[in-house]
Amino acid sequence: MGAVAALVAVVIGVIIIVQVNSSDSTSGTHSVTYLKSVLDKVPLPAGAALAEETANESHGDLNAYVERKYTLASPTNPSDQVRAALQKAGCRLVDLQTREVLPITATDWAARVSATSGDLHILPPGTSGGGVDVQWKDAALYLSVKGGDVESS
Amino acid sequence: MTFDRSELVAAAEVDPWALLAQVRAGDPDQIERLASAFYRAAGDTRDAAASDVRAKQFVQEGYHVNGGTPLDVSGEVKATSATLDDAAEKLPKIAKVLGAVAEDLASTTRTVAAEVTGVEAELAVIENQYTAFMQGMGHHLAPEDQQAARNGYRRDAITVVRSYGMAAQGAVMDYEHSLAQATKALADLGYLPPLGLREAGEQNTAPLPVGSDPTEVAAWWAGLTPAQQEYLIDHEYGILGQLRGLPAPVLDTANRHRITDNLASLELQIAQLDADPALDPFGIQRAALQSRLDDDNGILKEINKPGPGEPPTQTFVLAFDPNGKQGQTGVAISYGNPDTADNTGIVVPGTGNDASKLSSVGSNGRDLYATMTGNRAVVVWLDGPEPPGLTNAAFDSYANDSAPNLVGDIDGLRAAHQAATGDGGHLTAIGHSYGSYILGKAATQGADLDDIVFVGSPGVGVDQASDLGIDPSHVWDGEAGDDPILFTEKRFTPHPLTGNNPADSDFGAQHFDVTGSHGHSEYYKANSESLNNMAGIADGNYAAVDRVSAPDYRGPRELLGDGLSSILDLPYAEADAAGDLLTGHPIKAGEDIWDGAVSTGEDVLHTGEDVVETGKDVVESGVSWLSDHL
Repeated sequence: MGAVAALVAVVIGVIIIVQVNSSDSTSGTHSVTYLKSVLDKVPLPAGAALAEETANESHGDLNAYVERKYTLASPTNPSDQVRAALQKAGCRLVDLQTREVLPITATDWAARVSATSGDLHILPPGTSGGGVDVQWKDAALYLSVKGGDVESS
Repeated sequence: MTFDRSELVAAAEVDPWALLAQVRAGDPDQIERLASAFYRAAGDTRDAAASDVRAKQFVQEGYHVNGGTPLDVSGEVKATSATLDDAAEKLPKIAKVLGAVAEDLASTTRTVAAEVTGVEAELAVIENQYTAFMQGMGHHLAPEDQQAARNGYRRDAITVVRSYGMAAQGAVMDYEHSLAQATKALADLGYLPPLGLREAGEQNTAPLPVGSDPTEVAAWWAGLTPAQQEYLIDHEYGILGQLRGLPAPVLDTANRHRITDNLASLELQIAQLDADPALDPFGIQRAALQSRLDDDNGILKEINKPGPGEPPTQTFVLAFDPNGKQGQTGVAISYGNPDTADNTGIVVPGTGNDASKLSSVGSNGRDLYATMTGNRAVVVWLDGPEPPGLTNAAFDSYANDSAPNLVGDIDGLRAAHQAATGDGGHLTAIGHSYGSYILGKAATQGADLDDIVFVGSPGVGVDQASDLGIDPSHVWDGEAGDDPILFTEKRFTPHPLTGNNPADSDFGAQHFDVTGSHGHSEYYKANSESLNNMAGIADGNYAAVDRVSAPDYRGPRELLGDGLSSILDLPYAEADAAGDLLTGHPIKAGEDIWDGAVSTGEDVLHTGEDVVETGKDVVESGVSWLSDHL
């Protein structure tokens, strides 16, 4: 009999979870629409062209996620191109290991990236949180963000 | 030489000189001349002439095997042309692929030669430093101090050999991968190049069977000659990719081949169905194949991106199972080489994750990698089925199918690390939500882990951390106060009403701060307390973990139990509710349960600080829903 009661409880639990999930999973900072709006705020080097976009809404334990791949107009000095665009717009850099949020400077930038590649978390102006993952290698630039990582401040 | 090269190679577990000999056994000049012959047979004299020029350059640059068996170029072309239906179209394509192989081989040889030059230069520096030291203050030291100093220089030398050797090995593996693709493309075009064309050093040998013990696999692989390993990578990658305990670069090469093969097979099957709709009138087969294809494409998208970090770390495909249980594709990838990493984190996700969305859970792994420090790797594990949706998440079957795979894959990681470094490394697995139940089950089935972390858990199959097979001080839990999992927090405890969730003090885990992570999906939030603490555990840097006392949350499930107890005044009140069900009063049973829960819940909500505002909103929405439906 205990097992039957337990089953009732499980069913109620699942119902509640479904209600919870359906009410909050696709809204706020966990919706694809919001995440795309965050990526829209990341300034790009001149001439960067969107090559591919991948996105999924949150579902169960799966978090919402958006990723974009861009092709830079020129493969020359991609790190300088990315820095110039971000620095000019007033983006900040998030160091996940020290947990510091820092202004972007040429000196600090040079210590964190090579001439051709880099992988940093960046906060566009007007946002807070852990930042957008900005990664580049040669002429390929990737931006990605998952639900909850970036909030409007 | 003060330090014996073979001794250094044995300790470094990689031999850059052997790798150079291996690629130098291939002959770009001969392959390019073969390309020229195919161009010429197609009547394309212009490209044939260009190929001839490149072949001469390869000879001038030294990319030519002196004394190698000459290839009957015209015989190859003649025999191939005779078998092709549309030779005019295919011959130049074959030539183009051959030209690309020649350039790849020459380029790889250049890269590996540069690595060998680098290792030899750095070894010479270490030799000189050691000699100068011994001629200076060293010879005044006691013999044991001299030996200690020598050991230090030897360690430096091993590190140098390993560093350059791994770079050389990566280049060779990349070449092997592109070569396999080229070989397949040639086969699709109707040309099977002679076996000895590319590398002269292959030696036929049989692989171990799938399912072999990982320690046995690691020892077997280490005992093979380079020529035998080369043969197996080229011809038995279908088996190699499934052998736990092999070095990560070998698994990666083999599994990338397997993914490419599977993708091609799926595309072919879909094309056949598209060509003849009568074969699948309702589109059922096509939908199933498309789902598999989406999985493969999702994997390729993630593994072909640069890995996390600067410089980008390599991404290794450790496991690929195109026919996984419950109809799902299994995959496990690693950012960084887990064989040589000091610390490896294993991300075990939960409901709704599948291979087609590998980039999404991969972003959790990437952020964990970015937050960990030192020589590290992060495995993103989907090598077992996950519940596709929340309704499926109420069942045990997915964890039952996944846990043994997780145990086996962890054994493979241990064995490969042991073989590469002489120790098993530090392994931490992090289970989120349903993934925590998979992880708990794997732990009780013998998963060989150093640290176990649960976040957002609905229960892990045991009541006590001490039942997980490791020291409870290495079992960790993080739980947000507004995580809706609290409403089913005992689902996968041994008793779904009274069991211990890892967040309960009675469970006996260590608890870490997750302040700032809200709801169910922010445990891996970038730059959060939660992620920082999980990275500290995975790093083995326990002093950096911000510990808190057990939260002992009381969700509605427990409140239901409280309500039943207060209303019915029975030690096992749920039995009476069940009695109502069995005697024909299911609605009454539900009402009793809910009334008791609401009554008790209101008290607790008013007085307790541990049920947060979001939880109250959810309780109220649940009351509203049930009022409408019961």
